[in-house]
Amino acid sequence: MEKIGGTVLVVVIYLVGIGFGKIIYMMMKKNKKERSYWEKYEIKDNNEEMF
Amino acid sequence: MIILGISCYYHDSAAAIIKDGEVVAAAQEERFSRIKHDNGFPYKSIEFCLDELRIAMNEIDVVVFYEKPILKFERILQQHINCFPKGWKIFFETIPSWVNEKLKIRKTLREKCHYVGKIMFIDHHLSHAAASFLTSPFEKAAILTIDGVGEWTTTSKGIGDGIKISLDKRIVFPDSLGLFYSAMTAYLGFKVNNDEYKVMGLSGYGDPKPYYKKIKKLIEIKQDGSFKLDQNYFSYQKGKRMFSKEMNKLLGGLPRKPESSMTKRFEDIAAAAQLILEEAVFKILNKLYEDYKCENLVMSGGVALNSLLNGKILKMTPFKNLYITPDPGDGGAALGAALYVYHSVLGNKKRQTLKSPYLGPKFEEFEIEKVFDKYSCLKYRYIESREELLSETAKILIDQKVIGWFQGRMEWGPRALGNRSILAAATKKKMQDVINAKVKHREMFRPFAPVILREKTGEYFEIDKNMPVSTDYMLLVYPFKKKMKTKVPAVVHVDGTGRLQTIGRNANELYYDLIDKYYQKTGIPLILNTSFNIRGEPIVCTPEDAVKCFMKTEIDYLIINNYVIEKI
Repeated sequence: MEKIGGTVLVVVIYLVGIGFGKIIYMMMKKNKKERSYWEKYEIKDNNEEMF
Repeated sequence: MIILGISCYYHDSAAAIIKDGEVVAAAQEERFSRIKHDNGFPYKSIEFCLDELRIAMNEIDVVVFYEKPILKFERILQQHINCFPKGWKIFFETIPSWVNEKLKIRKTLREKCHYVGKIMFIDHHLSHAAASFLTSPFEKAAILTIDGVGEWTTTSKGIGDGIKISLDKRIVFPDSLGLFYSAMTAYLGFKVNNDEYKVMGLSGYGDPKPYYKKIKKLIEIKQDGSFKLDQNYFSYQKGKRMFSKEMNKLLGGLPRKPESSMTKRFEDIAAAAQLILEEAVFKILNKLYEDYKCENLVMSGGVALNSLLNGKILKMTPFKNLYITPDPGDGGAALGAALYVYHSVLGNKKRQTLKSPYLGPKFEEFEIEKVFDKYSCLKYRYIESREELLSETAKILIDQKVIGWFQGRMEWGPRALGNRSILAAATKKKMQDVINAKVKHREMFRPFAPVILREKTGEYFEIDKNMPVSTDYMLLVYPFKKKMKTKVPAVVHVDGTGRLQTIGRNANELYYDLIDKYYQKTGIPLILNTSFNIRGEPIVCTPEDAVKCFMKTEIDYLIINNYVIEKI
């Protein structure tokens, strides 16, 4: 039962989380012509964190 | 101050340990586990590092991981969002390993390694940058890192000054020169993250013209070197396949099936892909020079293993000096992360250049003899005199025999640099076929590499004015001088180049003396050096690995330290 519950949870997370994220992503995506594809590299000074 | 750097969970897991800023030991996990490009947690490499210093895990002051796992996980989730609902299969395949393992580095270190000290996480490309800059001979240098992908970054540039590294600009996933080259690798029927060097070798046979314009459509390169891949042709965001069906249409046919015969079409595709990679990197480098006006360049990341590209950098850009660390890939980033913490985080100003690429395990005579006891089909003799050992080995080479040469500490990085090498004379073209038939069983288009006495390099190769020290690590390809090609045909590639290893006496005394002895007897300061392994296996690590490889192949002699071994 626990295994089925886990699988259902992963499927729900996938459909709701990732699917909803896709809608937001599509809304935010704009077709702008870039002059350069370099972007500023900001590295956080948090060496003890995993993010 | 002892710092352990580790890298794992993508490919080429490794561990490296430094003490007071000096690199003491480093090795890739694959050498111990015998799984090529092993990406598991590097337990065995860590154990080796601890043994080298004769310390316990809790005597380490800091353990540092070579990237930020949560940022990487964020990118993977974003990837799934972008391609939803495609990619569902890969989602269910990869997410459990992230949840159960890859996000639990701290837990693994605490519970499985019983480590209670400080744990740090350094940005992936910062670890790459540190691996090259902080081991380089330069006080100040422009830095370029290029790989498939780290957390988000695929390319970064900046400057290193003293102990400070500042990466200022980057290009992010999915735009990646590493992934572009990997997609071409897959199209050509080779393994991604494994066989990119085969594309490099194959490119020498092809003509880039027929496919140049087509492959150029895959990538838009701006004047400032920044670039964007046309994702219609790639599918690495959606699954395991690197390229889409659009790529087949663009290149006018199906991709090559693995292990199928090679055709002119694929050779030309390889040549065009290599040329476009080079053009992109030269544009980035020219802008990098303009940005920082520094004549020294350090490079790192998997793309810095492209020795064909590396050999042209000083000719095609304004940079005067170049340095690439022996392992610019993910394995090397373990060392980079450790050095970054010691210098840039903790502020230790006294830097040391990398003294040696021989940072792996070595074995004593009693350990070697134990192996002989297991194999009754071997006869061996111990040659006490170093001079006699060198003379006899040189004579074996002159007799056109193939030697498995196992000495001292194993090399750090993907190349065999004369301590875990197969050696042979390069004076006869047929030696390529002999080694392929006896040992390597590899594709015929792949060249064999030469090792040459450093001071003789200019006689044989069209070298740069300031020949980089990284030629010692077999990371650059140079053209042979025309008149020399016929002297050593076994190591001249079809395009007249060689991926040379230079050797100075201070770098590896015994290896140097062997080639010097061969030179004294033949007048040729160069022999063939290829990695001591058979196709599909990692390079040998222990004497037992060497004996097993020796037994499986038709290598004529195995020389481990002072033991000369033959089959009965």
